[in-house]
Amino acid sequence: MRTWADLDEFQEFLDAGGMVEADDDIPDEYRNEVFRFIEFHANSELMGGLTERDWIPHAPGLRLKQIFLAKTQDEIGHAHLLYMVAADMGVKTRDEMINDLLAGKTRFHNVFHYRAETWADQIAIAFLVDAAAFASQRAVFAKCTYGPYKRILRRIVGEEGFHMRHGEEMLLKMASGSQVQRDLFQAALERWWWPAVQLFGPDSPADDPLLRWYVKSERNEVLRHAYVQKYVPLLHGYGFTVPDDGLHQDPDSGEWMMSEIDWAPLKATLSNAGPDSERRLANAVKNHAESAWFRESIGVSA
Amino acid sequence: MTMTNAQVGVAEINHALDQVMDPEYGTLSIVDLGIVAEVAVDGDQLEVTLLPTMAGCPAREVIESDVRAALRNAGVASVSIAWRLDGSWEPSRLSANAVQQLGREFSIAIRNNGSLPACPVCSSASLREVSPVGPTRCRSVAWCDGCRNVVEVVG
Repeated sequence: MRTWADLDEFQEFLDAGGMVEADDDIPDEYRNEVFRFIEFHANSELMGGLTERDWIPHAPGLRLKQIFLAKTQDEIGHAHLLYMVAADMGVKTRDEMINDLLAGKTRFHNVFHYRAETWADQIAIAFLVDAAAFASQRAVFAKCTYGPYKRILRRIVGEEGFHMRHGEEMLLKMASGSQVQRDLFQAALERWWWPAVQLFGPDSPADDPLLRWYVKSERNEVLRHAYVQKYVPLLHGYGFTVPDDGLHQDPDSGEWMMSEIDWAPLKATLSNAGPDSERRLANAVKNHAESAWFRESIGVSA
Repeated sequence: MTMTNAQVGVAEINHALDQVMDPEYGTLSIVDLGIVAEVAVDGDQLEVTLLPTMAGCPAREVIESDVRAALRNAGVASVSIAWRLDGSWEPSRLSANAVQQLGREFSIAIRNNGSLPACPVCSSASLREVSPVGPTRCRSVAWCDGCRNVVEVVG
């Protein structure tokens, strides 16, 4: 167990590339902030996994059902690992985290507060949303000074990278399909573009403790901008229209510039008041109640 | 330039297969992971038999298309790929390099003879199984009481 006299000394340790381990005498500020971040990640994996699960019966063909089954297991499994590490930090138990999530007291990613209307939405989610989540997780993994979290992220990032290949493959099928398929994807793109862009969050505050402690390695706006540079040309290349009237290329740098982002939808999701938040949470509560017999049979509570 | 299979040597074929990386663990090849069961060259016929870690592995199609691409790049004109689905993959098929990398890079341990191995993070004998499956069907989840890390266990 390592101890630090104060936050300044702890900061020096982190600045020198130090990695925090579970049995260190972790400063409360760091412990609470990192715990909240991992809890948010775990909640998001769980809520995301439940949506993937809902689409298994609707996935066209056995092969896609198998892929969605495996993706569901991935996401729920990631939540499982993350809740283990979060619970070990001693801020909240696993039961408390699950109960808070189901009671709408804690948060999960904005993208899981919207309804996936058609199969094309699932493709837009796999292609656009998974990619945004992947970029943001990869940026956490790049530094991530909390050792037990970084070790899980190593595997999560690899697995999410594999999901993206499925997203690209499914999108290619829609893009090279009939006009009906192309229209279906365009409509889904119009629903999912802004939530995907907003997943990175508003610009990072000037002194974000998660950046100062090297939990995050990059500012939100930098990741968001890089994402737009990659995905706008890709979508244009496939012949789709990005739903942003103000989108233009900077004449000097050639970079893609978006309209000013309206953050009200993101704020609504953060207080669990997004367009589909209520149904999603009710669905999660129902799922939790219906699987109680299984948890009992293996002797765990959450 | 495309050659007939007879002109591409077995060593080159094996080398090409060793360039095919696992779709999730991009630093480990399918040869290292023991997924290549057999390479048979008979005159102009090349047959590659692959052995998934689990019959229901969702990565099979991606691996197969990566194998085709790698062999095409090595100059192989045509290949027939078969999957052996008899469940005979075992952790002992992993190369020493794979075992080392899985432990060090990914905190994934390999069960030996049915019992839990040492923790790949702290090397202590403190692993305790938490659940028989985790994010994938081919690994269980364990907790290390020594260093308090989550470890996944193959086998």
